[in-house]
Amino acid sequence: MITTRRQLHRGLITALAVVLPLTAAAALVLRPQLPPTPPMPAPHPGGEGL
Amino acid sequence: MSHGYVAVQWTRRKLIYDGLLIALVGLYLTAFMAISHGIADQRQVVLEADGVAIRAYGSAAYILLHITLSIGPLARLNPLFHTLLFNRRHMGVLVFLLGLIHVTGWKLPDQPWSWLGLETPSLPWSFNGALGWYHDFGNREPLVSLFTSNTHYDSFVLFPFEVLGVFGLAVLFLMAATSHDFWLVNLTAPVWKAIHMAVYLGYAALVAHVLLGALQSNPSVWLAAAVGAGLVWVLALHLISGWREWGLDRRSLAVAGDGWVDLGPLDSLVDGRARIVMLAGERVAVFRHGQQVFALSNVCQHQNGPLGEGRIINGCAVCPWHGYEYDLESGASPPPFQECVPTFPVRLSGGRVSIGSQPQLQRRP
Repeated sequence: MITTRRQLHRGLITALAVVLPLTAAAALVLRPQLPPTPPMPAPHPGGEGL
Repeated sequence: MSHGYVAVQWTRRKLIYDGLLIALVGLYLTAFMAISHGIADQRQVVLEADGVAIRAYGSAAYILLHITLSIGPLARLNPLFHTLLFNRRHMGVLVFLLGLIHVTGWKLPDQPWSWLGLETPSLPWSFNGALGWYHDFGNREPLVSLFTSNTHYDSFVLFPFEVLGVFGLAVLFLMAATSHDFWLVNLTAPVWKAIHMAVYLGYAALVAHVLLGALQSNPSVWLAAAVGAGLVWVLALHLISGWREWGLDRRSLAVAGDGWVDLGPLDSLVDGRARIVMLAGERVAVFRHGQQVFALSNVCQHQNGPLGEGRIINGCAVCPWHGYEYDLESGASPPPFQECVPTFPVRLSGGRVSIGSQPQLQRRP
Protein backbone atom coordinates (compact mmCIF):
# COMPACT_ATOMS: atom_id res chain seq x y z
CA MET A 1 0.00 0.00 0.00
CA ILE A 2 2.79 2.42 0.96
CA THR A 3 4.77 1.47 -2.15
CA THR A 4 1.70 1.94 -4.35
CA ARG A 5 1.05 5.38 -2.88
CA ARG A 6 4.69 6.31 -3.36
CA GLN A 7 4.47 5.27 -7.01
CA LEU A 8 1.26 7.29 -7.43
CA HIS A 9 2.99 10.29 -5.85
CA ARG A 10 5.95 9.96 -8.22
CA GLY A 11 3.64 9.60 -11.22
CA LEU A 12 1.66 12.68 -10.20
CA ILE A 13 4.79 14.81 -9.72
CA THR A 14 6.24 13.63 -13.03
CA ALA A 15 2.99 14.51 -14.83
CA LEU A 16 2.98 17.98 -13.23
CA ALA A 17 6.66 18.45 -14.12
CA VAL A 18 5.69 17.99 -17.76
CA VAL A 19 2.33 19.80 -17.87
CA LEU A 20 2.98 22.87 -15.70
CA PRO A 21 6.16 24.18 -17.40
CA LEU A 22 4.49 23.73 -20.80
CA THR A 23 1.40 25.60 -19.55
CA ALA A 24 3.61 28.37 -18.14
CA ALA A 25 5.56 28.71 -21.39
CA ALA A 26 2.36 28.80 -23.47
CA ALA A 27 0.74 31.35 -21.13
CA LEU A 28 3.75 33.65 -21.46
CA VAL A 29 4.17 33.28 -25.21
CA LEU A 30 0.49 33.66 -26.04
CA ARG A 31 -0.39 36.48 -23.66
CA PRO A 32 -1.86 39.45 -25.48
CA GLN A 33 0.46 42.39 -26.06
CA LEU A 34 -1.58 45.17 -24.53
CA PRO A 35 -0.70 48.72 -25.51
CA PRO A 36 0.76 50.69 -22.60
CA THR A 37 -1.90 52.74 -20.86
CA PRO A 38 -1.10 56.23 -19.63
CA PRO A 39 -1.19 56.46 -15.82
CA MET A 40 -4.31 57.97 -14.33
CA PRO A 41 -3.41 61.23 -12.62
CA ALA A 42 -4.12 61.52 -8.92
CA PRO A 43 -7.10 63.72 -8.05
CA HIS A 44 -6.18 67.26 -7.20
CA PRO A 45 -6.14 67.79 -3.44
CA GLY A 46 -8.31 70.85 -3.84
CA GLY A 47 -11.21 68.85 -5.24
CA GLU A 48 -12.70 68.08 -8.64
CA GLY A 49 -13.54 70.28 -11.59
CA LEU A 50 -10.61 72.64 -11.51
CA MET B 1 -0.14 10.46 20.24
CA SER B 2 -3.63 9.01 20.08
CA HIS B 3 -4.66 9.13 23.70
CA GLY B 4 -8.06 10.80 23.65
CA TYR B 5 -8.87 13.77 21.47
CA VAL B 6 -8.14 17.35 22.33
CA ALA B 7 -9.11 20.02 19.78
CA VAL B 8 -5.54 21.22 19.35
CA GLN B 9 -2.73 20.10 21.64
CA TRP B 10 -0.86 23.37 22.01
CA THR B 11 2.70 23.17 23.14
CA ARG B 12 5.26 25.92 23.62
CA ARG B 13 6.98 24.90 20.36
CA LYS B 14 3.70 25.06 18.43
CA LEU B 15 2.87 28.46 19.88
CA ILE B 16 6.30 29.82 18.90
CA TYR B 17 6.00 28.27 15.44
CA ASP B 18 2.50 29.69 14.84
CA GLY B 19 3.38 33.06 16.38
CA LEU B 20 6.39 33.44 14.09
CA LEU B 21 4.38 32.30 11.08
CA ILE B 22 1.56 34.81 11.69
CA ALA B 23 4.05 37.61 12.42
CA LEU B 24 5.95 36.95 9.17
CA VAL B 25 2.72 36.85 7.14
CA GLY B 26 1.57 40.09 8.80
CA LEU B 27 4.93 41.69 7.99
CA TYR B 28 4.68 40.57 4.36
CA LEU B 29 1.13 41.94 3.97
CA THR B 30 2.08 45.27 5.54
CA ALA B 31 5.23 45.60 3.42
CA PHE B 32 3.39 44.64 0.20
CA MET B 33 0.69 47.27 0.72
CA ALA B 34 3.10 49.98 1.93
CA ILE B 35 5.49 49.46 -1.01
CA SER B 36 2.63 49.36 -3.56
CA HIS B 37 1.13 52.60 -2.27
CA GLY B 38 4.59 54.19 -1.98
CA ILE B 39 5.39 53.44 -5.64
CA ALA B 40 1.95 54.74 -6.71
CA ASP B 41 2.47 57.98 -4.78
CA GLN B 42 5.90 58.41 -6.35
CA ARG B 43 4.43 57.98 -9.84
CA GLN B 44 1.40 60.10 -8.92
CA VAL B 45 -1.12 57.45 -9.94
CA VAL B 46 -4.30 56.40 -8.18
CA LEU B 47 -4.16 52.95 -6.61
CA GLU B 48 -7.31 51.33 -5.25
CA ALA B 49 -6.69 50.04 -1.74
CA ASP B 50 -8.99 47.02 -2.20
CA GLY B 51 -7.15 45.89 -5.33
CA VAL B 52 -3.79 46.13 -3.52
CA ALA B 53 -5.11 44.17 -0.52
CA ILE B 54 -6.54 41.46 -2.83
CA ARG B 55 -3.12 41.06 -4.49
CA ALA B 56 -1.31 41.13 -1.12
CA TYR B 57 -3.41 38.28 0.35
CA GLY B 58 -3.40 36.29 -2.91
CA SER B 59 0.38 36.50 -3.27
CA ALA B 60 0.88 35.69 0.45
CA ALA B 61 -1.22 32.51 0.05
CA TYR B 62 0.64 31.58 -3.15
CA ILE B 63 4.12 32.07 -1.63
CA LEU B 64 3.17 30.23 1.59
CA LEU B 65 1.79 27.33 -0.47
CA HIS B 66 5.18 27.02 -2.18
CA ILE B 67 6.94 27.04 1.20
CA THR B 68 4.53 24.44 2.62
CA LEU B 69 5.02 22.13 -0.36
CA SER B 70 8.82 22.51 -0.14
CA ILE B 71 9.12 21.31 3.47
CA GLY B 72 8.40 17.63 2.71
CA PRO B 73 11.10 17.11 0.06
CA LEU B 74 13.55 19.37 1.94
CA ALA B 75 13.15 17.18 5.05
CA ARG B 76 13.83 14.13 2.87
CA LEU B 77 17.03 15.71 1.58
CA ASN B 78 18.21 17.19 4.91
CA PRO B 79 17.03 16.19 8.41
CA LEU B 80 17.49 19.81 9.57
CA PHE B 81 14.13 20.61 7.96
CA HIS B 82 12.29 18.18 10.28
CA THR B 83 12.01 21.22 12.56
CA LEU B 84 9.58 22.79 10.10
CA LEU B 85 7.76 19.56 9.33
CA PHE B 86 6.14 18.83 12.70
CA ASN B 87 3.69 21.74 12.47
CA ARG B 88 3.34 21.93 8.68
CA ARG B 89 -0.44 21.41 8.88
CA HIS B 90 -0.91 24.78 10.58
CA MET B 91 0.95 26.36 7.67
CA GLY B 92 -1.43 24.65 5.23
CA VAL B 93 -4.47 25.90 7.14
CA LEU B 94 -3.04 29.43 7.00
CA VAL B 95 -2.63 29.12 3.22
CA PHE B 96 -6.35 28.31 2.97
CA LEU B 97 -7.34 31.23 5.23
CA LEU B 98 -5.22 33.71 3.24
CA GLY B 99 -6.74 32.39 -0.01
CA LEU B 100 -10.22 32.70 1.46
CA ILE B 101 -9.60 36.34 2.49
CA HIS B 102 -8.24 37.00 -1.02
CA VAL B 103 -11.67 35.91 -2.34
CA THR B 104 -14.10 37.15 0.32
CA GLY B 105 -12.20 40.15 1.65
CA TRP B 106 -11.74 41.13 5.29
CA LYS B 107 -15.13 42.29 6.49
CA LEU B 108 -18.13 40.94 8.34
CA PRO B 109 -21.11 39.60 6.34
CA ASP B 110 -24.28 41.72 6.23
CA GLN B 111 -26.19 39.11 8.22
CA PRO B 112 -27.36 38.83 10.96
CA TRP B 113 -26.90 42.59 11.45
CA SER B 114 -29.31 43.44 8.64
CA TRP B 115 -32.01 41.16 10.09
CA LEU B 116 -31.55 42.88 13.45
CA GLY B 117 -31.90 46.29 11.83
CA LEU B 118 -28.32 47.17 12.73
CA GLU B 119 -25.48 48.51 10.65
CA THR B 120 -22.79 45.93 9.87
CA PRO B 121 -19.82 46.58 12.20
CA SER B 122 -16.63 47.52 10.42
CA LEU B 123 -13.42 45.53 10.99
CA PRO B 124 -10.04 47.24 11.17
CA TRP B 125 -8.15 47.07 7.82
CA SER B 126 -11.36 45.93 6.10
CA PHE B 127 -11.46 45.56 2.32
CA ASN B 128 -13.54 43.88 -0.39
CA GLY B 129 -12.21 40.57 -1.69
CA ALA B 130 -11.93 39.54 -5.34
CA LEU B 131 -15.53 38.28 -5.35
CA GLY B 132 -17.02 41.57 -4.16
CA TRP B 133 -14.52 43.78 -5.98
CA TYR B 134 -14.86 42.23 -9.45
CA HIS B 135 -18.33 40.65 -9.36
CA ASP B 136 -20.60 42.82 -7.19
CA PHE B 137 -21.27 45.75 -9.50
CA GLY B 138 -23.56 44.06 -12.05
CA ASN B 139 -27.11 42.82 -11.94
CA ARG B 140 -26.11 39.25 -11.06
CA GLU B 141 -25.32 37.72 -7.71
CA PRO B 142 -21.50 37.80 -7.22
CA LEU B 143 -21.21 34.00 -7.12
CA VAL B 144 -23.36 33.63 -10.27
CA SER B 145 -21.27 36.30 -11.96
CA LEU B 146 -18.06 34.50 -10.95
CA PHE B 147 -19.08 31.38 -12.86
CA THR B 148 -20.93 32.99 -15.79
CA SER B 149 -19.13 36.25 -16.65
CA ASN B 150 -16.35 34.47 -18.52
CA THR B 151 -17.32 31.43 -20.60
CA HIS B 152 -14.23 31.19 -22.84
CA TYR B 153 -13.68 27.55 -21.98
CA ASP B 154 -12.55 26.94 -25.56
CA SER B 155 -9.70 29.46 -25.32
CA PHE B 156 -6.33 29.01 -23.63
CA VAL B 157 -5.33 32.55 -22.63
CA LEU B 158 -8.93 33.66 -22.08
CA PHE B 159 -9.82 30.54 -20.05
CA PRO B 160 -11.85 31.48 -16.92
CA PHE B 161 -8.96 31.55 -14.47
CA GLU B 162 -11.42 32.33 -11.65
CA VAL B 163 -12.81 28.78 -11.86
CA LEU B 164 -9.29 27.38 -11.49
CA GLY B 165 -8.87 29.51 -8.36
CA VAL B 166 -12.17 28.23 -6.94
CA PHE B 167 -11.06 24.63 -7.57
CA GLY B 168 -7.69 25.29 -5.88
CA LEU B 169 -9.40 26.90 -2.89
CA ALA B 170 -11.84 23.96 -2.62
CA VAL B 171 -8.90 21.53 -2.47
CA LEU B 172 -7.20 23.68 0.18
CA PHE B 173 -10.46 23.67 2.15
CA LEU B 174 -10.60 19.86 1.99
CA MET B 175 -7.01 19.69 3.26
CA ALA B 176 -7.64 22.20 6.06
CA ALA B 177 -10.95 20.63 7.14
CA THR B 178 -9.43 17.14 7.42
CA SER B 179 -6.08 18.24 8.83
CA HIS B 180 -6.80 17.30 12.44
CA ASP B 181 -5.61 13.98 13.89
CA PHE B 182 -9.28 13.08 14.44
CA TRP B 183 -9.60 12.55 10.66
CA LEU B 184 -6.17 10.97 10.41
CA VAL B 185 -7.09 8.28 12.96
CA ASN B 186 -10.63 7.67 11.71
CA LEU B 187 -9.79 7.62 8.02
CA THR B 188 -6.53 5.68 8.71
CA ALA B 189 -3.16 7.05 7.66
CA PRO B 190 -3.08 5.48 4.14
CA VAL B 191 -6.52 6.90 3.17
CA TRP B 192 -5.74 10.27 4.78
CA LYS B 193 -2.42 10.51 2.95
CA ALA B 194 -4.07 9.55 -0.34
CA ILE B 195 -6.70 12.29 0.12
CA HIS B 196 -4.03 14.85 1.00
CA MET B 197 -2.12 14.01 -2.17
CA ALA B 198 -4.85 16.05 -3.89
CA VAL B 199 -2.90 19.12 -2.76
CA TYR B 200 -0.82 18.69 -5.94
CA LEU B 201 -3.96 19.00 -8.08
CA GLY B 202 -4.88 22.12 -6.08
CA TYR B 203 -1.36 23.47 -6.61
CA ALA B 204 -1.58 22.86 -10.36
CA ALA B 205 -4.94 24.68 -10.49
CA LEU B 206 -3.56 27.65 -8.54
CA VAL B 207 -0.46 27.90 -10.76
CA ALA B 208 -2.79 27.95 -13.79
CA HIS B 209 -4.99 30.53 -11.98
CA VAL B 210 -1.97 32.85 -11.70
CA LEU B 211 -0.63 32.11 -15.20
CA LEU B 212 -3.97 32.81 -16.89
CA GLY B 213 -5.03 35.57 -14.49
CA ALA B 214 -2.45 37.91 -13.00
CA LEU B 215 0.20 37.14 -15.62
CA GLN B 216 -2.13 37.98 -18.52
CA SER B 217 -3.02 41.41 -17.19
CA ASN B 218 0.34 42.34 -15.64
CA PRO B 219 3.19 42.52 -18.17
CA SER B 220 5.92 42.71 -15.49
CA VAL B 221 8.91 40.55 -16.32
CA TRP B 222 9.68 40.29 -12.61
CA LEU B 223 6.28 38.79 -11.84
CA ALA B 224 6.71 36.22 -14.63
CA ALA B 225 10.22 35.40 -13.37
CA ALA B 226 9.01 34.98 -9.77
CA VAL B 227 6.14 32.66 -10.79
CA GLY B 228 8.52 30.64 -12.99
CA ALA B 229 11.16 30.40 -10.25
CA GLY B 230 8.56 29.18 -7.71
CA LEU B 231 7.32 26.51 -10.11
CA VAL B 232 10.83 25.28 -10.96
CA TRP B 233 11.77 25.25 -7.24
CA VAL B 234 8.80 23.12 -6.13
CA LEU B 235 9.01 20.70 -9.07
CA ALA B 236 12.81 20.30 -8.89
CA LEU B 237 12.74 19.61 -5.14
CA HIS B 238 10.08 16.94 -5.55
CA LEU B 239 11.82 15.34 -8.53
CA ILE B 240 15.23 15.22 -6.77
CA SER B 241 13.85 13.77 -3.52
CA GLY B 242 11.60 11.37 -5.46
CA TRP B 243 14.55 10.19 -7.53
CA ARG B 244 16.51 9.41 -4.35
CA GLU B 245 13.58 7.52 -2.87
CA TRP B 246 13.16 5.59 -6.10
CA GLY B 247 16.82 4.53 -5.89
CA LEU B 248 16.20 3.16 -2.37
CA ASP B 249 13.07 1.27 -3.44
CA ARG B 250 14.91 -0.43 -6.28
CA ARG B 251 17.58 -1.89 -3.98
CA SER B 252 15.38 -4.67 -2.59
CA LEU B 253 17.34 -7.22 -0.58
CA ALA B 254 17.45 -10.84 -1.69
CA VAL B 255 15.90 -13.27 0.80
CA ALA B 256 17.83 -16.53 1.22
CA GLY B 257 16.10 -19.92 1.18
CA ASP B 258 15.93 -20.01 4.99
CA GLY B 259 14.00 -16.71 5.07
CA TRP B 260 16.91 -14.61 6.44
CA VAL B 261 18.63 -11.63 4.84
CA ASP B 262 22.28 -10.81 5.52
CA LEU B 263 22.87 -7.09 6.27
CA GLY B 264 26.65 -7.27 6.73
CA PRO B 265 28.85 -6.67 9.78
CA LEU B 266 27.48 -5.05 12.94
CA ASP B 267 30.10 -2.28 12.64
CA SER B 268 28.52 -1.13 9.40
CA LEU B 269 25.50 0.10 11.41
CA VAL B 270 25.83 3.47 13.20
CA ASP B 271 25.05 3.24 16.92
CA GLY B 272 21.80 5.01 17.86
CA ARG B 273 20.66 5.26 14.24
CA ALA B 274 18.93 3.09 11.68
CA ARG B 275 19.69 1.86 8.20
CA ILE B 276 16.62 1.70 6.00
CA VAL B 277 16.48 -1.40 3.80
CA MET B 278 13.94 -2.64 1.29
CA LEU B 279 12.52 -6.06 2.05
CA ALA B 280 9.76 -7.74 0.02
CA GLY B 281 8.49 -4.40 -1.29
CA GLU B 282 8.36 -2.60 2.07
CA ARG B 283 10.91 -0.53 3.95
CA VAL B 284 12.42 -1.80 7.20
CA ALA B 285 14.33 0.35 9.71
CA VAL B 286 17.26 -1.58 11.23
CA PHE B 287 18.33 0.20 14.43
CA ARG B 288 21.60 -0.40 16.28
CA HIS B 289 21.41 0.24 20.02
CA GLY B 290 24.84 -0.49 21.52
CA GLN B 291 25.62 -4.10 20.72
CA GLN B 292 21.98 -4.93 19.99
CA VAL B 293 20.12 -4.65 16.70
CA PHE B 294 16.37 -4.25 16.19
CA ALA B 295 14.32 -4.21 13.01
CA LEU B 296 10.98 -2.40 12.74
CA SER B 297 8.70 -1.37 9.92
CA ASN B 298 9.88 2.01 8.64
CA VAL B 299 6.29 3.27 8.49
CA CYS B 300 5.11 5.28 11.51
CA GLN B 301 1.47 4.57 12.32
CA HIS B 302 0.63 8.24 12.75
CA GLN B 303 1.28 9.82 9.33
CA ASN B 304 3.39 7.05 7.79
CA GLY B 305 6.54 9.06 8.49
CA PRO B 306 10.01 7.50 8.01
CA LEU B 307 10.70 5.92 11.41
CA GLY B 308 14.23 4.94 10.34
CA GLU B 309 15.21 8.60 9.98
CA GLY B 310 14.52 9.14 13.68
CA ARG B 311 16.63 8.57 16.79
CA ILE B 312 16.56 6.22 19.76
CA ILE B 313 15.36 7.82 22.99
CA ASN B 314 14.77 5.78 26.19
CA GLY B 315 14.90 2.51 24.27
CA CYS B 316 12.29 3.68 21.76
CA ALA B 317 12.56 4.56 18.09
CA VAL B 318 11.19 8.11 17.75
CA CYS B 319 9.58 9.22 14.49
CA PRO B 320 11.28 12.41 13.24
CA TRP B 321 8.01 13.91 12.01
CA HIS B 322 5.86 14.18 15.15
CA GLY B 323 7.75 12.30 17.86
CA TYR B 324 5.67 9.08 17.96
CA GLU B 325 7.57 6.44 19.95
CA TYR B 326 7.87 2.66 19.46
CA ASP B 327 9.62 0.18 21.74
CA LEU B 328 12.56 -1.25 19.80
CA GLU B 329 11.87 -4.83 20.88
CA SER B 330 8.08 -5.07 20.66
CA GLY B 331 7.26 -2.26 18.21
CA ALA B 332 4.55 -1.06 20.63
CA SER B 333 4.17 2.52 21.82
CA PRO B 334 4.66 2.99 25.57
CA PRO B 335 1.36 2.91 27.56
CA PRO B 336 -1.16 4.48 27.47
CA PHE B 337 -0.64 4.87 23.75
CA GLN B 338 -1.98 2.20 21.42
CA GLU B 339 0.12 2.42 18.25
CA CYS B 340 2.16 -0.58 17.20
CA VAL B 341 4.44 -1.27 14.22
CA PRO B 342 5.51 -4.71 12.96
CA THR B 343 8.96 -5.93 13.98
CA PHE B 344 11.30 -8.33 12.23
CA PRO B 345 13.42 -11.05 13.89
CA VAL B 346 17.13 -10.22 14.11
CA ARG B 347 20.06 -12.67 14.28
CA LEU B 348 23.60 -11.72 15.30
CA SER B 349 26.11 -14.36 14.35
CA GLY B 350 29.88 -14.08 13.98
CA GLY B 351 29.66 -10.27 14.09
CA ARG B 352 27.20 -10.24 11.18
CA VAL B 353 23.59 -9.08 11.25
CA SER B 354 20.71 -10.88 9.58
CA ILE B 355 16.99 -10.11 9.67
CA GLY B 356 14.08 -12.45 9.08
CA SER B 357 11.74 -11.63 6.23
CA GLN B 358 8.52 -12.40 8.12
CA PRO B 359 7.10 -9.41 10.04
CA GLN B 360 5.63 -9.91 13.51
CA LEU B 361 2.92 -7.68 14.94
CA GLN B 362 2.33 -7.56 18.67
CA ARG B 363 -1.39 -7.18 19.36
CA ARG B 364 -2.59 -5.10 22.27
CA PRO B 365 -4.95 -6.93 24.65
